[in-house]
Formats: sequence, C-alpha cells, structure tokens
Amino acid sequence: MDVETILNQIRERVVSEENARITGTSVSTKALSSNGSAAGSSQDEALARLSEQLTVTGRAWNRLPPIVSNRRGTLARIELWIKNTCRPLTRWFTWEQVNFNRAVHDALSDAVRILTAEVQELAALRAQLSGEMRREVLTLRSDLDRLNSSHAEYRSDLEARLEKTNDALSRISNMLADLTEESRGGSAQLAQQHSQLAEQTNALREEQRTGASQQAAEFNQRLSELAAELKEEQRVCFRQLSLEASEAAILEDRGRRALDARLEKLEKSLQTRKG
Amino acid sequence: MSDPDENLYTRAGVSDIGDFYRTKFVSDEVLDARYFKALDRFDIRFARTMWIYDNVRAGSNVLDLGCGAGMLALLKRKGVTLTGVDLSPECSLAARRNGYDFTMTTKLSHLPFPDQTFDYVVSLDVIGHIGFEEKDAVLSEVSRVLRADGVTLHGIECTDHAARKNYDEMNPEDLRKFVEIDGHVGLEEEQEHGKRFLRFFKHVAWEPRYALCLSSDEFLKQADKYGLSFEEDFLDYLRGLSFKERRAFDMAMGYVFGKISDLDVTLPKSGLYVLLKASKIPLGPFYNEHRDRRALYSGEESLKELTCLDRNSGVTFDDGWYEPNLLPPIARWMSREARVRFQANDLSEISLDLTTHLPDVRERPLLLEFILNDEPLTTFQLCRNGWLRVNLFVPESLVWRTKGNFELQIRANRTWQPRPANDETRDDREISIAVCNLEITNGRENRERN
Repeated sequence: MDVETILNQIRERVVSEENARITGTSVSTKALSSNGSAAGSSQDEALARLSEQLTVTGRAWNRLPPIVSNRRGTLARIELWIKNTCRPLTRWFTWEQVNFNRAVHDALSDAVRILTAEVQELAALRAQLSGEMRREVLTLRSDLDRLNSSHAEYRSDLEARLEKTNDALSRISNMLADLTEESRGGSAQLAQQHSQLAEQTNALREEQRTGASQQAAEFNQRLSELAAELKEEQRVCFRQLSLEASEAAILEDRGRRALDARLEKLEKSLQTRKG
Repeated sequence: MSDPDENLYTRAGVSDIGDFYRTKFVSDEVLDARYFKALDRFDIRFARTMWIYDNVRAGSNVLDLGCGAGMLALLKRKGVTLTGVDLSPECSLAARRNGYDFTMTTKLSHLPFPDQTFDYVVSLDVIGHIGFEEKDAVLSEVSRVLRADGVTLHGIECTDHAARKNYDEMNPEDLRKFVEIDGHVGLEEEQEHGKRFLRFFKHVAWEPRYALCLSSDEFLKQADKYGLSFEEDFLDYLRGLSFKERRAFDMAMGYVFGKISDLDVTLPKSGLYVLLKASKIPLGPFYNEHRDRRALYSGEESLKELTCLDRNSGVTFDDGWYEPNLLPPIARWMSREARVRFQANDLSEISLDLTTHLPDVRERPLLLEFILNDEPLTTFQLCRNGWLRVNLFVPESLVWRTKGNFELQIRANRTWQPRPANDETRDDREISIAVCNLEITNGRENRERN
C-alpha cells in the first residue's frame, strides 16, 4: 500500500512537472510581456514546487526502496523472504545515501529559505519599486494631466487668440478693404476738392486783387477826403487868421490915423500960439 | 486836532497845486472879448465879471490875480491893459489866448511887478483858494503893486461857521472830499475877509451876494456837493431842464442879480459869496463906479472898414447862436435857427465857412436855408462833415430896399445833441452847424476886383 501511494505520488509529480514544463513556455512568454509581474508568480510556483520536493525529501531522505519481486507464487515469496532477510545486510552501503540525501535535503531547504527570503526581498523591492514607480507614474500622470490641462488651456487660449486674431485679421482685412475703398473714394474726392480749391484760390486771388485794388482805392479816396478835409480846416483857420490880421492892420491903421490927426491938431495949435 | 503849520492842500492830499487847478479850471472856453454877445451881460455866469467891468475905469491898467482861463477878458472892451497871473501855466496860456495882454505863471504871494504898477488889482474866486498862512502875504503884495489911488476888487467864496464845519473840525476824509470839490482851503466868513483886508487897506467895503441868485448848475452843486438845503422838488425841476431852459433860468437870475446891484440893495449874510472893494483912498460907489457899457453893444463906428462879422462888436448874433467854441478855428454853433444883424452899404456878397458834426449827415443830408431880410438867398443840402465855403450873392434890388440894415437868417431842418448824458461832460445843446469867417463884400470892392 505504502509503495503504491508512493508510486501514485511519483506519477502525479511527473504529470504535474510535464504540465509545468508545457505551461512554463507560455508563462515565460507571459512574463516577458507583463513586464516581470508574472515572473514573481513563476518564482513563487517554483519555490512551491521546491518546497513540495523538500517535503518528499524530508519524508523519504532516510527511507530505502521497497522490497518488490517480479515473480509470482512461491518464488515470489521465497525471493521476498530472502530480500527481506537480506535487507539489514544492505544497510552499510545505503547509509552513505542517507547521509547524502540528508545533506541534499538540508542544502535544498537552506536554498529554499534563502530563495524565499530573496523572493520576499525581491517582492518587497518590486513592491517598493512598483510603488515608487506607481507614485512616479502618478506624479508623471498628474504632471502629464496638468500639462495636458495647461496644454488644453493654452491650446484653448491659443485657439481663442487665434480666433480673435483671425477675427481681427478679418476685420482688419475688411477695414483695409473699406479703407482702400474709402481711400480710393477720398482720393477721388481730394482730387476733386483740390481742383475746386485751386479754382477757389484762383477766384480768391482774383477777388483779393480786385478787393485790394478796391480797398486801396477806397483808402486813397478816404485819405484824399481826409486830406481835403484837413486842407479845408487849414484853409478856414488860415482864413480866420488872415481876417484877424487884416482886422488888426485896420485897427492899427485907424489908431495911426487918429494919432496923426491928434498930432496935426497939436501942431496947428502950437503954430497958432506961436503966430 | 491838526498841525496848524501844515498846509491844508497837503492835508487834503493835493501835492501839486498847479496841476490840481489845471485839471479843474483849464478849458477851451472862448472868453475873448471880441466874441462877447451883449445879451450875455444878463447871464448870471458873467454877473461877477460885469461887477468888475462896471467898476473899472476905461483905459486903466488891471492885474487879474488867479486869472484862470480869462474870465475877465471882457475888460478888453473898455480898452484896459489886462495882465493876468496864475499858478498854472496852462491857465496863463488860456488867458493869453483869450485876449489878455500879458500873463505869467507865479505864486500870488510873490508878484513879479514893481510897486504901484496897477490901477486895479482884481480877482474872482481866488481868495478862498489861498491858504490862511499865505493870505496876508498875498494881500501885502496886492497892496504893494497897487497904485496909491488904486482900487482892489474881489469876488470871494465864503463860509458860514454856524452851518458848516471849520477845517479843524473835519477829519482827513471829509477834508479831502471838501477840498476835492473846488480846492477851497481858505474859506472865511464875510466879516473875517473884511477885517483881513482892513489890515492892509484903509477903506474896505463888502456886500454878501449870491444869497438869492445862483445859476441852475450852482444850485445843484451847492445841494449835491456842499450839502446845502433846497426844496427837493425844485432841485428835481432844475435837473430836468434842457440847455435852453437852463440858459433862460440863468438869464433871469443874472437879470435880478444886476438889478439888485443897480438898486444898491444890501442882502443879508449868505455864507456863500462876498463882493469886496478896498483901497487906500476913500471908495466910490460899490456898484457901477465907472459904468459905461457902450462898448458891449453894436455901433456903426466899429463896423467901418471891417468886413469880417465874427469879432465885430457892431454885429449882433442873436440867441440862436451858442457861445463860440474853439474847434479849431473859433466858430459859433447854431441851433435850428439863428440870425445875424449888421449894417453894410452897397452889400453885394456874403461869404462864410460852415461845418456840421451831425453823425449821419451822409445818410440824411442837412437842409440849410439862407434868408436875408426875409428874402430867400439860397437853399441846399449839406451831406458831408468837412468845412464848406459858402458865397451868397445879394440881389441889388434887395440892397436898395433895406437902406443898409441887414438881417441874415440861417435855418436848419434838424439838430442833434453831442453828449446828452447826465455826467461831467454833458453837452445837451441842440446844435446844427458851426459858422465862422462870416464876411461881407460891398459892390464897390467887387467892381474894383473885376
């Protein structure tokens, strides 16, 4: 029974190893594609398998193979008897095997322990790394989001500006078109006004010429009138002076004649007295 | 209250007395005796002049103290030698222009004449302008230059101590206002003036005047500036008078003034004005001592040989003519109608210069009519402002009929008032044209000329 159980276990192990080998390729492929996250699980599985092997070695490191016979009947019994009787005689050469098995079992146990620690450390490192990476990724993602949002804002702003610029450009172009049209019209009007101005200037010049000559004529006329008035005033004043002078001369002559008459009268009276 | 030695002019803020009187009393007024209109002897404005005129001997030597513009130029009609002295050189010049024989600028307390030079030393409205501190010096000079038998005649502004404040009682502002009106810094009562003269002259007589008769302007001045009390409705009436009405009022007042003098009526003390006569010898009559007004009226003698009528005393310019003005030349403004009466033998032509200052004469010509002895000579429209010579030919038929007496009548169809507003420069005369150089030519002269 015991041997049968062992044999079943060996069979199961071989089948599972075969399955494991078959799926190992896909696992490794998967591990490659999943950036190492599947590698941890394969390591764990390997360690699990190793631990299972260790349970086998731990259980069977000091056991001998079971006594079996391929014969039947009496022969089989005789053989089994003999073998059973001779089992202690084989102890001397199985001892070393037992020591070796134990050493292998201990070494593997140590290796499993170390590997487990390594795996745990690795897992911790991976977790730490993945956490850092996640944080970094989150930071990067937030930065990226911020960048994206700012970029979006910038873009929207830029778009708005662009839209405005486009509007302005369109307006400017409209205005330019209007201005061009207006300028064209203004130029025409200016040319017309210029021609009108030239005509008016000529007319004004002509008018000024005639006005100036008329003003000069009026001024001359007024001046001559004033001069005539002044001459008239002078004439009247001089006439008055002349009349006063002639009056004075007449009065003087009258006085002289009166004096002459008195003198003559005195002389006559003197002559009369002398006579 | 005040420093007795301080000059009242100084206290009243008058620093240049000559300039003060120049601005107050110099004018272009024509006072030349040759232009005097006989009718003006009744004008109250000439009442004081006529008192001097009637008290001065013809042909005498007269000194006019403070002659101003020459208010006594009329004395030249009596053939006097007329000398004038004044503080202001402009006044001296104006007096000379108005016919004074000799004028000079001097202080009245230092007369530049030898002793006993003048028969008469006269003054009108001067003694009241002499400060108390100078009065005796002036009277001393008057006494010195007056001949022993000379007479001094003065028209003097007075005050009434009972009615008016003395100078010492006035505060600086009142004094400034009082002196600013006329420059009176030496007003005394009538008897005070008399007593002062008695210190220099043995014989002094004075008569208060102007108690009753004042010109219309003087009534208003005494009321408005000196605060004398008159009936308010009477003052309103005077303010509303036109130029001609004021003239009539002044003529009436002057007539009464003259009659009071002629009748030798003594008026009560008025505190306004006194006429004073003084001499070292006994005085003659106070009024009309040498009255002889013949030279004021027209006479044939003065017409002989003189062909210009403007300054001829033989010619009568009626009251349609205003007093002559210096435009120049000297000319008479006419109202709407005026007449000239004269005598001439064998008159053939009348010529004259005329002008108008009507502002709108170009737009509305002035119609002028010339009529000689009720016969129209000519009519024309004046349409410019300058001087115009007009020759009027006299028909022989008219000369034969008139026997040498002529009356030239000039009519204008409208007049204007130069400055009718009621202010210092008011001139509300209704004037039309100004006329001068009015000459007559007789037929003989014309024939000789031809």
